[in-house]
Amino acid sequence: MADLGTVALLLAVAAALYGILASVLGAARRDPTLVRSGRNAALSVTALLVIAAAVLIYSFVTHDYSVQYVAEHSSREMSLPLTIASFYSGQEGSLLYWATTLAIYTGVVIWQNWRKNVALMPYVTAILLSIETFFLLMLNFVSNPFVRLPFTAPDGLGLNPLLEDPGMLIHPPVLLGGYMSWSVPFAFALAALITGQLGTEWIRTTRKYALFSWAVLGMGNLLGMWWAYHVLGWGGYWGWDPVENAALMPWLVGTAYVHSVMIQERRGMLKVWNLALIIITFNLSIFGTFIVRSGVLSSVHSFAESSLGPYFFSFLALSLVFSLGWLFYRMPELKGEHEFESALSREASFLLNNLILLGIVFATFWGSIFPLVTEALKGVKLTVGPPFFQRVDGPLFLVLIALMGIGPLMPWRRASTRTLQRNFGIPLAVAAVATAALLAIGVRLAPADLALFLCTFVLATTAQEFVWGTSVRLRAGQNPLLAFVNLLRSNRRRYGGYVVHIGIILIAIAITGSQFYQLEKNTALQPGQTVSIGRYDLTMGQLHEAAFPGYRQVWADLSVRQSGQDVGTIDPAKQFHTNFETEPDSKVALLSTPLDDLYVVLAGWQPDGSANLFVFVNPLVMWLWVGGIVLLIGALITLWPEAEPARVPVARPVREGVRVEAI
Amino acid sequence: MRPRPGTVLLSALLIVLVASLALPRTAHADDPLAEKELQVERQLGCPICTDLPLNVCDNELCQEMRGVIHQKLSQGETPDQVVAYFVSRYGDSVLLSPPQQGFSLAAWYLPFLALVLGIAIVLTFLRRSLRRRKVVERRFQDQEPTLDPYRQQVRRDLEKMEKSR
Repeated sequence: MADLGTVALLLAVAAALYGILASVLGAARRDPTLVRSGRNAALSVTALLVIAAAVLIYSFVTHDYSVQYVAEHSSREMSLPLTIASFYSGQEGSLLYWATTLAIYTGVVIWQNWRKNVALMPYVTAILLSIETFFLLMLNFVSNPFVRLPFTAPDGLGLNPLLEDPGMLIHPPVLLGGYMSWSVPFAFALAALITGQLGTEWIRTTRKYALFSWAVLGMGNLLGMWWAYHVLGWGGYWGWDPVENAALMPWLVGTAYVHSVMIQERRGMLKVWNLALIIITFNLSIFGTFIVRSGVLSSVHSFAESSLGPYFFSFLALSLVFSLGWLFYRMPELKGEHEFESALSREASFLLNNLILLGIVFATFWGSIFPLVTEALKGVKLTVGPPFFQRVDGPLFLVLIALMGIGPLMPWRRASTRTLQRNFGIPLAVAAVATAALLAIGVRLAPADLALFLCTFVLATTAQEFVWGTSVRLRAGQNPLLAFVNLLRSNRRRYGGYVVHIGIILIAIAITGSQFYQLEKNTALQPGQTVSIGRYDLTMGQLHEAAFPGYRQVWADLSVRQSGQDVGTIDPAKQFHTNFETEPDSKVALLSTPLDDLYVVLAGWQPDGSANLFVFVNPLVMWLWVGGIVLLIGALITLWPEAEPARVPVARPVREGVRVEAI
Repeated sequence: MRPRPGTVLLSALLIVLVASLALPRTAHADDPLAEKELQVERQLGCPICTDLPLNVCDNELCQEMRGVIHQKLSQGETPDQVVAYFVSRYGDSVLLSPPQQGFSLAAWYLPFLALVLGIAIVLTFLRRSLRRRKVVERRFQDQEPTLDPYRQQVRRDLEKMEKSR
């Protein structure tokens, strides 16, 4: 059966190469038959990859341990969902996952756009197929998931214990899907550059694709945070690990893009900049995929190390040179249609937002590769860890939050003093009152106060926008709920964006709380002893040990009192999995409340029955996940298909007006 | 020349940014010794695993290192001295962030230099854009004074639109 997979992958390379050739030649010679043939080749690549993926899943489900990849990443005692998830748990499978989802997405994009974007589509197809070809070459000749063992193993090795978690079912596929999906905006941007059709067509087409990729990559990151928080057992959700940084960077550049693209839509400016952002985002996504797999930088993800480095670097170099080359070639045709009118305007604040976002990306990139730099230049491998990024990226994020409050209230083109007073008066007052209240209850750490001041300011500006929008409709006689829903429907993108902002602010508040007010104790408890931390008292019961199918577990039971009230017992544990005896896996005990999380890790134990515990109280962490859900809702509001076909662009008459004013 | 509002806003943001660099990170001081221990542990990484901060690493070496930290601090050494002791034993790589000296200063300050450069470029771009616009405006004003009433009408309408937004 696995041989069918091998054959499908080989045929897919051939079909992809033919598809590239046919699409490009067909477009150049204006030969519709050839173009259609290229499209059909792309669709057959989709079919072949779906077959290959199905074969691999089938091999996993039927426990075909003659296939090396299956034998190394699963075992008979694993549950069915985890067995299927083992598909992407190793390098070969995750490359196949990338390639398959890209192939399916390519099919969807062709289906949605073939009639609408006749001129661009052959090139979009060719570019998507080129990316596909890179992954197919890897899969066929470097890292093939269908390689057979010389014998059939009786049972598989099983999954790395860290991956045996529900998080495994969702974090890797969403994150990889996020990386993969940036291929589509990139393909449209590059197709626009190649064809010279640099109008608003490609922007309008890729608007939703870019937002979709942005949302998926963001969710991938949040799910990674959630997984790290409840599995890795170091009390936090973000370790500024190179792999995490690599996933954050394309998302930040993507964030810059989904903002600055509005300036191009409204005012026809910053065309080169937007193209550059798309190119950077895509290449950072490839870089992110590669960093997980490369082992160049030491990381908690090092279970995934490999030797793919040189290939990925070559592909990255090629894609950068090719896309930036086209951008440079078309530079003269990319002049802006308008000029900036004032430093106090929506466009200028977007520009600043872009600058800060790219500043964060640069700082993160520089910090991530700095160990390599010092190793190359000085022969010492330094570490660049959390303290560095907190100090360098932290303040920049604060500026970004400030801009989230300022930007949406800035009028396009230029602001008058009166508009500014009217827009900012109430939010500033609300934020000042809230901060005073925080100071009064004892939150007296300047950076935390500043962060919370900015967060309440943004919440107030956003609320003000919703109130103003709704009250107009209320005056027209609609009932409040209907007015609110209609407001959301009237401009999904704008109000969905505001909902996303609220989600981000909730996340920022959670990060502020848990970064500045985390309590932490490292303690050894004998049976009957008690430790107090914050509003919690933990009393140690007994240490236990027992064998379960597939693993042996040691755990402690602790009874917990919260502000003097009994709230039950928790049992932090360590599990020793078969085949992975030397790497015990922590099972974190977590008691989550809206105010704070009690987070207990069993770090070790002594012969006398005492337990070594890492005990944390992490304030407000629940709001991180709530913020993530709000962000998802906002993204869905924005992405929800419009009832009527395309909205008539309203920008036109305003733009004409401006021109008259200038004359 | 009167400072532009944009410049004022930018410099205010920059000041906030630099000021927050100088501020301390955590605050809970019910147990000063434990607080100092954490302060040291958070600066150091596990020398034998993937750079996990010392305070959350559960292998034996890290437990020993935590013991040494506890001992040295209770003997009255300052956190900085304890950190220096570990650097002398394990080298700079035991630190979780590059030391603020010599070549490693580049790690800390290059991002801010890049940002300042970026701001400078954007400001120049904005200013040039604004100046070009003014020149165009003036030229047209000189040539066609008869359009003035229309221009005013448009401006009034635009303001009305903005108000009713």
